[in-house]
Amino acid sequence: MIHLQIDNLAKSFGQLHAVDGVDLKVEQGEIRCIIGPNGAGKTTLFNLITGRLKPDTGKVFFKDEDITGLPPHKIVRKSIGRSFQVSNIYPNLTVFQNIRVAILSNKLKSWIFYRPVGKFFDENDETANILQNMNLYEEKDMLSEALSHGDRKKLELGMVIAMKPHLLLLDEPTAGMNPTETESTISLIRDIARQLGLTLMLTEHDMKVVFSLADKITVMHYGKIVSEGEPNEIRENETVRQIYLGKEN
Amino acid sequence: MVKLKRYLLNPWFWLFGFLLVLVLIPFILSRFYIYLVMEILIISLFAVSTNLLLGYTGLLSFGQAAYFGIGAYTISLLLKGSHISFLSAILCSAGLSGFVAVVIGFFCIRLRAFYFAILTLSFSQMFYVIAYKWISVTGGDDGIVGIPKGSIWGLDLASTTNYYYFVLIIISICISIIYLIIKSPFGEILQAIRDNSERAEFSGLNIRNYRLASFMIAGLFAGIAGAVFAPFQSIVTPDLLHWSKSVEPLLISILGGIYTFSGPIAGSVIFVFIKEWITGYTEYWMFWYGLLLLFLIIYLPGGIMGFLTGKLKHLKWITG
Repeated sequence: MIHLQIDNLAKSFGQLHAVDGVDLKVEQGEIRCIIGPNGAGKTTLFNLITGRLKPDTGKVFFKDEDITGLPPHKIVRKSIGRSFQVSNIYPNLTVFQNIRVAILSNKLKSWIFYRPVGKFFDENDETANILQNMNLYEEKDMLSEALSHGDRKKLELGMVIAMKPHLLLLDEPTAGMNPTETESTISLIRDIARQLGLTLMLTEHDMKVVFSLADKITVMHYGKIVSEGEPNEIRENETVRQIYLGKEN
Repeated sequence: MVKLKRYLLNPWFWLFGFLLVLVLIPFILSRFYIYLVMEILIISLFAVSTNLLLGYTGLLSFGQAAYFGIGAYTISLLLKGSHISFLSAILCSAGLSGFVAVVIGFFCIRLRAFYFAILTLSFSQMFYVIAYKWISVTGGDDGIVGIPKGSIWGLDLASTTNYYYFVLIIISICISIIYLIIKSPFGEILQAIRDNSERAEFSGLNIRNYRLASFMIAGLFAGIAGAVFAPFQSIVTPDLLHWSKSVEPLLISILGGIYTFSGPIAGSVIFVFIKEWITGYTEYWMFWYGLLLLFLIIYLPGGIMGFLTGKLKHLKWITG
């Protein structure tokens, strides 16, 4: 079943065609990697899907529903989650609160103003569970701004997972991590995606990660899709090699 | 020693002690000081409500005096012009302030940071002009004088002690409600929006609605502060709505610490005492207050309560 379908999506910033007529179909349960050199339009594509930007033309369908141009908070409610290249967390809240905010929002309890949040036992337990899965339970009372770079990325991932998404978009989930962190994060992502049967779209610069994780790979260049296929097809693809290695080689 | 430290770390101990002192004040202090403490209480509520916006929602409003003033004018007109009970008059004033805050907030919330600040200021100046120019209703420059304190359940509030306890109860209830709001899921969401509105939006939250709700709550409680202030002063003038009055709760909150709940309360105590104390010597008290604020912002950026709670945490660290 097609989970996400994108038709002829385009977005320009002045003269720059950041995303230029992209068509894409992602199957339910698939892990799709979007790769391409810097400035290929990967992040813009994610921004268009999740409502951070409105497209100039084109449509985005999720589970056959047109979600083009909806504001982010409405798109999130359609169970599409997203993480950012530079981790987006609540720096002055504790690690525990960071996750709890997502859970309260997901369970539609964010408007309750007459009962202390500490009394919401189910939500607090759920928060603790997620922190344990993310290996962040020890840090639960720390302000999240004090976390290491890698832990911040994990925390953001936890906040996204807490919303129980069906489609998860991760923008460079391992950027800036050391090899050990990268490995543990990737296996964490893989486990979560399998456990929850998520559809996963991610951009990633580490080719080792891409080829080990992806079911299918989409290659973007100058806002267009230049190639799409299974990892071994992409590995052998002449156009892709040219983009990454330069035309003369 | 360990036992003593445990007491020092327990907020209930502080709260109980603080309330006990407040209850005993009419028995120990002279009328002058009872008035001073009443002023502190009222300013506290005004500052705490403003800090719900500033410290907890991350919205810098330069227009909170409008809601304080609307509360004060509404109750004055009601008490002078009708036979409505005192408590209902307070509720009406609160309701009107809250309603005006929703209408104005609806427009202001759309803007970011300083545009928001400037728009709140402009709207509040509009109310200042109305109070100044609509002479037939507001008395213009002369304001409204001789506002009665009325009575509640047969208790005559004209007596200073009675009005003091009345103010103490009203303000305590209001500040407790704001505390509960901050500790609720809704309050946690506000803090999340303050920290990172984009992440909040990507957690499915419509941030405009939450900001508007916070703006309304702040306006409503500022209105209550204004409503108990007018009979306390027995006179209201357009000055109450002037934008420079909006700066007071902001300065008080910064002085006390905007990231602590008790900060604005501590700030009010210091603000009122400094004002009283320095005006005894010079009318340029704002100059000295400004110097103090300058010193605090440079050396204690978390405000007084931010500094103290930091110290107490340190104490906890030592005792394990």
